[in-house]
Amino acid sequence: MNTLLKVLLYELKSSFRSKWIIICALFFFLIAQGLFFFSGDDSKVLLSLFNIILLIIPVIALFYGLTFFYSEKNFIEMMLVRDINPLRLFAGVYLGLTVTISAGVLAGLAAALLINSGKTGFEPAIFLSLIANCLFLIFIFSAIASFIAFRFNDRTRGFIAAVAVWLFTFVIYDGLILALSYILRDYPADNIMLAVVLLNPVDISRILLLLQFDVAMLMGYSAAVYQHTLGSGLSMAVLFFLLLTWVAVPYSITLRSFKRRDFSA
Amino acid sequence: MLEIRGLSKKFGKAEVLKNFSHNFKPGAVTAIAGPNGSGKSTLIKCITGLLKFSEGEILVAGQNTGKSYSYKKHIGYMSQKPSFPENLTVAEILEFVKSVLNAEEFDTTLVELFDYKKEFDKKFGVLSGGNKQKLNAILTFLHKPEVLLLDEPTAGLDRESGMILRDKIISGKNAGNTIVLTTHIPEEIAGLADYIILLEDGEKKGVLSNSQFISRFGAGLHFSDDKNKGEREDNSEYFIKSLAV
Repeated sequence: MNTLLKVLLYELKSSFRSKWIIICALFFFLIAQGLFFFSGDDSKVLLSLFNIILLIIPVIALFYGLTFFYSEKNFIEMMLVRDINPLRLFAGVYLGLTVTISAGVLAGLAAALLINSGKTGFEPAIFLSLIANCLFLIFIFSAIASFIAFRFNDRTRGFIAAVAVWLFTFVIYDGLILALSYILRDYPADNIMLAVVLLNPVDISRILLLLQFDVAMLMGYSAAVYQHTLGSGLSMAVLFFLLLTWVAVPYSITLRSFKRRDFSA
Repeated sequence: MLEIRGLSKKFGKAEVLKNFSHNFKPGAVTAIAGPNGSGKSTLIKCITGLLKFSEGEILVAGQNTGKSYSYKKHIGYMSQKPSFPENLTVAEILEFVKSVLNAEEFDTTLVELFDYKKEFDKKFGVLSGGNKQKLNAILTFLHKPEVLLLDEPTAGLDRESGMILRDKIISGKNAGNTIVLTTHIPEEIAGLADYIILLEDGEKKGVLSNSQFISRFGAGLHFSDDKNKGEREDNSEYFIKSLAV
């Protein structure tokens, strides 16, 4: 078995013994179940659920990821001094984190969605799209968490940076886009705006789901532009590619620490 | 087995290691002594590959450490703070480390000497500080490394376990291993080290043999127990200051 798999299994063995994964699954199950219970219109439940996911998943991946990497730093250091491929070691640890969060989130969501699949006129395509977006957000924000944890040795600074990342991607970036659209209101800047929006992983994820739910027309002119410009299969593939890039960039930057061997907890 | 040539390391503008060169002899224990912030841990971390150095080169078993990580199979590093996932048992940690090391056979004599099998079913998180340090020692010697880098090896160990580890270090030395240790404890230096390098402000200030060290500083040494820790630390400072003169 190669080192990556050994490290991954070792991490999973440890993570699956912790209560965190059960709490996470229960949390998402209760949220989804609550939405199904209180919502009169089942067709809107998945949309509401998606908005909650968009808000909470980055928070969980960032803060649980940060806690995880800070607690694993000494272990990684202890492993790095041994004859182990550092890239595989990091990949194993990173996958250990992302698989753990994914398992917790998906177990909770899947249980609620399956219980309610009959009454909602369950659409597998939307369900799978929701899952895929969840996974992308987990992988992206876990990679950002790893970057922050290895960039800032001081935990307080690390957590401040994580709050800043979350606020920027979820709140400030949209504010900036709004300001930009106001400044460029007299120009035909649809494509520029679209390109700017696609630089934020949360917005990419939002657009992807928006297109899947086919509710773009309800969400104003910009959404109609997305529907018109990105509605094709190729555009969807480009959006997924951009999400993949968002996983790869912070992940690769963290890997450089290992390659450059400047690592110290 | 371990040679360092013109090693310099900067953190930003601060140079914490300055043109450090030394050829560490096989079959000998070399202690690196110096006050806090003198560059001891930085030196060890440069050798282990955890820190990138600014200038110079390090050769382990003839391999340039900057070229590949495979030289690490020759190295055993005992850090001050052992850390493993808290939910895993000692037996699982040992199995994991064995599985990722490319060693043909393993040295588990410290398990017997520490009488450590009774801890195997315990989770790492519930182990006492001393037992964590014993596990750290067991893992350091596990793959029979030829170069041992020991950072305050007996810190946190009781007197008996400290003696067991000292004997293990000496047997490693007798087997021809290259052993480098950092310590603040003068009696540990006197009891273990064949050579003593003084490091101050990142510079190598001098090298003493064990007999030179004992003849010059022996009278001032206290082979004290933990209740005299404060006195021992004072003594350590005295030793370092004296050596610097």
